[in-house]
Amino acid sequence: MNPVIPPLDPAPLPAPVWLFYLLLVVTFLLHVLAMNLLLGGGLIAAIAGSRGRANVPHQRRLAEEIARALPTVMAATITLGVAPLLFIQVLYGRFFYVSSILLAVPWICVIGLLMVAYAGHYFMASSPTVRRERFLWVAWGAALLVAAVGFVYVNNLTLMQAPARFRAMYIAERSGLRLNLAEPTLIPRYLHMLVGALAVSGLGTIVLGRRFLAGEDRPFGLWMVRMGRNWFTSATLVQILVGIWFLFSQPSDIRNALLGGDPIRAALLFGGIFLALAAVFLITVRPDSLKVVIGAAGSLVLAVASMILVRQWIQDHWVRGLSGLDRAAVHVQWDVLALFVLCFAGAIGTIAWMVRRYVLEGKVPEELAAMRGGSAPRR
Amino acid sequence: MEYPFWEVPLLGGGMVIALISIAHVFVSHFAVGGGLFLALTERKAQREGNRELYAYMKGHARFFVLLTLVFGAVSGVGIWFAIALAHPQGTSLLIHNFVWGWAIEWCFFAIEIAAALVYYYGWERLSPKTHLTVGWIYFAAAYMSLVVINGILSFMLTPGKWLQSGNFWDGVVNPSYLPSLLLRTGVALSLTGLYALLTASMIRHDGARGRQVQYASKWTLAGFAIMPPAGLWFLLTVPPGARSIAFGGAPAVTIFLALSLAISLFILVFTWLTAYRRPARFTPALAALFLVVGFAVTATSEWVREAMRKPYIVYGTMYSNGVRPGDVAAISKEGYLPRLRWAEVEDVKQPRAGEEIFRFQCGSCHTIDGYNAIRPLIQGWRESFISAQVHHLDELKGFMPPFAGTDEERQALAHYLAGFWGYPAESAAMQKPEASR
Repeated sequence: MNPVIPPLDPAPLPAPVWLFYLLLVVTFLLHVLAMNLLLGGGLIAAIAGSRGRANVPHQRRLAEEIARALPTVMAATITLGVAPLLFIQVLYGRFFYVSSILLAVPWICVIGLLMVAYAGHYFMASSPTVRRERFLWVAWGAALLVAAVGFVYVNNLTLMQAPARFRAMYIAERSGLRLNLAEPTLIPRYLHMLVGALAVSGLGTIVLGRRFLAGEDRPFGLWMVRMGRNWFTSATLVQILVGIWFLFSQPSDIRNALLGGDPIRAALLFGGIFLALAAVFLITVRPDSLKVVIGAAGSLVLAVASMILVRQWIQDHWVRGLSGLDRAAVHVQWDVLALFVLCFAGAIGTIAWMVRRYVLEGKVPEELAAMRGGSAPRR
Repeated sequence: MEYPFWEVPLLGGGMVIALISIAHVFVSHFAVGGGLFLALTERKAQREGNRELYAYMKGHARFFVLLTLVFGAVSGVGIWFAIALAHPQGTSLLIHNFVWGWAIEWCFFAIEIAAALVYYYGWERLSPKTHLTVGWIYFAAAYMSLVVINGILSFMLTPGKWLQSGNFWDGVVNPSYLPSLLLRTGVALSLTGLYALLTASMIRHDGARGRQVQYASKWTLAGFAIMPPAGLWFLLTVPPGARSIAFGGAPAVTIFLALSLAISLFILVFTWLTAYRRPARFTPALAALFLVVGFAVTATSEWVREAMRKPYIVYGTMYSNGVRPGDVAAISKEGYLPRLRWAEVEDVKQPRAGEEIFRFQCGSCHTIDGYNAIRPLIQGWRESFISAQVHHLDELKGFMPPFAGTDEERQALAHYLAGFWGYPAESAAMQKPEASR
């Protein structure tokens, strides 16, 4: 039986498919990088917090340093997530809306979970007098909530590409009280994301730790860089096993294509794996060199990018033929598109200017700080 | 019709959208007006070299950032989630026409979030000039996001020339665009005042508290000065059908409109009497009460605005149930059930046909026993009477769309509904309602 999917929207697409595709992939890459730091960073902070309670030196401080960054990382994750959410609706709304409705209750709960986790991050980043002993509980709570959000996302995005199951699932349960647990790739895909997040956050920990290498905090900085390296390398090595599981959970046609049947996709997959291993090699050799860290980070970003292209190809493989995008009418209003490009460039410029000022303007004069009612700067 | 219908017992999907949207509107208008408050008040503090005001601003900014980022930004995404679940067809229509509008708004949203964070973390780091500039950038970006989103929101009620041209700008800069923007600006200022009353009322020092409370009250009063003319202008630009719903066509909407005006007047009078006239005696409890009342007026006003658009989700283009006006004639001839991709039944002769028609065609506004429940609405109605009502639905009730379906389908719907009150089946062809559940 043919899968039941909604028809193409009668309105034409307001830009060529390739442009939406490009924007989807680029903004999704940025979102994934921020999300990885959020999910992995939250987990590393919670684990470090637990070990800190057992009086392992530096662990508690590591948890606090990461915690201070989490509100900003959450803001970036959400902001960067809105754009791919827009573009996926334009391209694949007919699948995405249906899968969202099938999982409606867990899907809408994502909003509440994020809000609580976000508030938790601000609490974790607040002063020690405010948070006291509750830090650890909140750290674990927020980390697990973010992990739960990721699980719901994986459920929706796997279901979205299985339209053959849509109708039967809907007829059986219409309130959206379910998950896509029958999906064979669900668990390996989720673990793949989780372990990847820990790896990226390991590298993030190195970057964060490098700020302490100068001055009296150097022992802590060195320790933090080493800790980040351990997280990064061990998670990447575990990822090899998880990745193999994920690959072999795929249907045979996709698996065969990725193992060489489709040279371009196979090159993307193995290129990505190579880049990730190259980053591990670089970090293992010289974790304390700035150039090496930048090189490793660049290599890792490229690895994530190639994985996202593979992921997008798999998604397309399932829905492209059914999506009818190839025959969708396109009507471009170039002036609106040009305005978007202008605003996009303006946004990057404005944000860059603000961040630059923030980095450059270190400390305000003490009398002004006093007038503003502030304490001495912490950073 | 083309998408599965998300069944939400008691509330209905529309109410889920309403709950998230109202809460979001209550905070997001503060996010806009509050940006101007931050910039102007910090400038005042700098010019006067006023330590007291600086100390207050720092606390207020913390409250502002926590509320607008944690609740405001996330609930905004929540609206996306909710509308796609409850109205996928309408969402698809909007996204296909205005994706670049949202993409442009996203650019301003990104600046807004970044500026809020730099402002928040920059108190002890940035020079006064830079800090203030970041405050202004925040406000400009927040207001621009309102400028863009207001275009899409007002489009849904007054699509104007877009109906003929399909042009993006005709849709965004529509007949009710400017009055709606002005009205929302007034709401943003007055809500900013209400939130600032809360933070100001918590200042410990009596003199400083009095000064800040009075300063905050001026924001609320300024907002209220803008709202009446903007509201009148708005009402003049909406379609006559929408106006008549507000003024008697649908009594519940008229009552809510009156309630919204009455509560607004209450806030205006009491802000003037308490916060403006006797600021020193203003307490946090009173401020919290004002916020609760402010929430009530936001909820009623937004509800009225949404209700005025009935029976459409986009005026003249798509009814609330996802049916397009241009398709009604064809559906009435060829049938509704054959077009339903997600119903259990395909033929009107099947037992649950009426139930499925109700679910997909009526369920976006009516629940059975919860919000806007159908059961009490048809109490005492026999099947033939229900069928006659449904036959002339749009003529009898201007806020409802016409029934889209064949005579047999209408009969099946009437049969299903009559079963709620246990009336014996009048049409022999139908099975008993008990058997159909």
